Amino acid sequence: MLFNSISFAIFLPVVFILYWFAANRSIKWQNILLLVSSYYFYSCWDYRFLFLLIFSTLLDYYTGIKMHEATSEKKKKFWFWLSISVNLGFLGVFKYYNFFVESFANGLSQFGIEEHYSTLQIILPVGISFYTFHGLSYVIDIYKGRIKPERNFIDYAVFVSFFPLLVAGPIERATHLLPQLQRKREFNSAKAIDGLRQILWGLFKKLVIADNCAEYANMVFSNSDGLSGSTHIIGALFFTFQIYGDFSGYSDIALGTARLFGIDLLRNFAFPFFSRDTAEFWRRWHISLSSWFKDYLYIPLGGSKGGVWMKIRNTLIIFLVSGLWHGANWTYIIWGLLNAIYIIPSIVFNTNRHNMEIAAKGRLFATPREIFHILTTFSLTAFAFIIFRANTIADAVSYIAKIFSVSLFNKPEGIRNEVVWLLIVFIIIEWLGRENQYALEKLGSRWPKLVRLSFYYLILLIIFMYAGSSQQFIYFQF
Amino acid sequence: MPIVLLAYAADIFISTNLKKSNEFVKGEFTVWNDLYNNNVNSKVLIMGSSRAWVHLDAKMIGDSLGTSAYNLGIDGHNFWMQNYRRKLAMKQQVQPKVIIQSIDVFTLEKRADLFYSEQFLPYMLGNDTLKKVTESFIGFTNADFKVPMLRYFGKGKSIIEAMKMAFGADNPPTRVRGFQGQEKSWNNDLDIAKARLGSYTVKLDPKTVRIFEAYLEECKRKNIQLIFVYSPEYIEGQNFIANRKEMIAVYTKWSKQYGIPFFDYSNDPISFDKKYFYNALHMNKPGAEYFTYKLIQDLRKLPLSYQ
Repeated sequence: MLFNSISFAIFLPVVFILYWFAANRSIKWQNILLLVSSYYFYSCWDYRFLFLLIFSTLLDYYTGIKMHEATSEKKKKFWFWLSISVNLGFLGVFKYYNFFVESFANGLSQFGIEEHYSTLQIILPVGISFYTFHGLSYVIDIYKGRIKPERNFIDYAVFVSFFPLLVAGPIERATHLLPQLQRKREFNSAKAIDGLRQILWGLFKKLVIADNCAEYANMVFSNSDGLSGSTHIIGALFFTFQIYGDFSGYSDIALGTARLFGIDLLRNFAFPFFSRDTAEFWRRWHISLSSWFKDYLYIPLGGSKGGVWMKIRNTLIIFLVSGLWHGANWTYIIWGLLNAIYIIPSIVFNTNRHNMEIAAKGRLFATPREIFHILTTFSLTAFAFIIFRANTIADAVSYIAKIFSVSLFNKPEGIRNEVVWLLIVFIIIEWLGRENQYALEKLGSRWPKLVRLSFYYLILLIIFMYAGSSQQFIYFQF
Repeated sequence: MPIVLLAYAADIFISTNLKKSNEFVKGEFTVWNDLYNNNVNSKVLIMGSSRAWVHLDAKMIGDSLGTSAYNLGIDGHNFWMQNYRRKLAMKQQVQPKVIIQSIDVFTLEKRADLFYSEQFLPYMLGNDTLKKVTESFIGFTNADFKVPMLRYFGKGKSIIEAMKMAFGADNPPTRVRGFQGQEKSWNNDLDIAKARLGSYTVKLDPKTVRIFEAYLEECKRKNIQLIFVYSPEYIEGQNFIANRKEMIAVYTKWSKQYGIPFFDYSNDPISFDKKYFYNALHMNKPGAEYFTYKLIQDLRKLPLSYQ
């Protein structure tokens, strides 16, 4: 069930009405309704993998309690590693089995050893990377003594499976979401309206920006031969906007939907394309994942303690793992590595924490220096996304080679003018709203009500008229 | 309830005005309007894809043969959709006596997507026949045919075109009896295709083949004189299709089986002269006019059944 589907448009109001009018008598009933709805939501994707989700939930619930009750460190470690290995085992098999088998065989063939191997026809369960990481963070936090296990299975199961974040995040933390589930939620109209506003903006990003950019990007990436270098550049730029619109749009819809139920989820994007360096970019892009890796991998590896070389080592590890998390393909690994290379100079020169606040905070216009840094960072990001988007490394190299050809200065082919205008409007709105949680949050808050409502209706009309042909959310494949 | 009424009103407004446009979706609305409003009424029908649309001047054919002719050629579509147009034409008051079937190597393929899907928008609401014809393509869902305004979601250009028509924007005629000559010069479509694909192998769609055979049977049963025409195709484009000979053999077999005259202009001098084409498959206006003249001379040698 996609967020931008008729079935979700029916599902959401039904759950909303039941939640606030039937189940609001107690926390228990609110959470039961959320759990049943979430499992129904997930089963619309593929009911067979619902059992995997439930199994993963039961496993972490049980091992969490057993760890807490363990009478010795040895027993505690046993339950901990059981949970980790089973969770990562499932992830490894479903997501990485074929990749590792093929890579191993290809590696052997470089030494003249031909191994006949068989790969499995494995369907990747939707959202497995996301809900597995929910579970892992919970188990690790219990092991480290940061939280106590949740003994109410319903509450815990909702934490893992809450439908707005189930298939593409944000990756929540038990310390953030569980307390909210343990309190009865009272209806707050201001919060609900804010939620609707964020959903509206998320739909605009996904349907108008991402899906329209996707049409062009797909055309360029799949029909690369015969197109000019300039067209390849535009293709890369459009893909960059596509992935941002798609993923941050989804996150906006998820956060807005959760707010309709009185729940606040972790922010996942903070205007990353206005970043002035790559370190800032990664503080603003897919925040829930990068903070997960920081807390559960980077810091345990030593983090920023130790010398520069340790920091560089840990940064490389984080980005390689992050690349691998995105998918079983060398392109994702190289993409991660490239981002690590981008960041390393700032680690060496200790400038990676320079740009902590949003660009041009409190000002309407950025300085020329800020604009230069923003454009440079954006260009580097877009370049790296070529590798991310390509099917193979060879395709990525071929794509990049075509950019740097004699046709670089030809007029790009096939661009629809209305998409360019929509992108310009989008960037302006994002810039104007960059100091808020999401662009539309406070934009127009001082306008007369009629003007503000007309503005929202205009956005709705633009969505209706210019929604691109439907594309699956990119991050569902992760 | 008010939203539903508003949606119906908006749907009717947009659909009514959109289909007035002569230029949008390559002028296909003019043909659909004539089909749905019983304005085809011709003794000679021309059927086919874009190669029919831009190659065969229906007015010239009709005037030269002393009868009415109409070109039902539809851009970008194989026989599956061409046949739907024919069936609509056969419901008209004047029944066709002769069908000039423009054939090419792609006629019996079936594309997956609904090419230029916007051309169907104004006619969809409650149209079960159109729903059946289009349901095997990637394009519209069941709900698009039942829920007002739903199919216009994401179709900003169509809505803007409808508004332009509503406010009396310029609307010059484009097609004449379905035909539209193309004032274009040679482009690099073939070079791009060669660079991307090397060559192309046509894949017959079994269901389309069965529909085509049923069509041949129907014409025979109803004494409709069918004529196969393979209009000129630029020689470099002919060489691009790997299994061209096999495709032509299929039509030759049917031609013999059903006694259908088959005019194949693949080796006509026109096919070797680039100045008559704007790409490997399509002739420009001078090429179309010259070819139509040649075809008329050849048609005159046949005893045509409308006479």
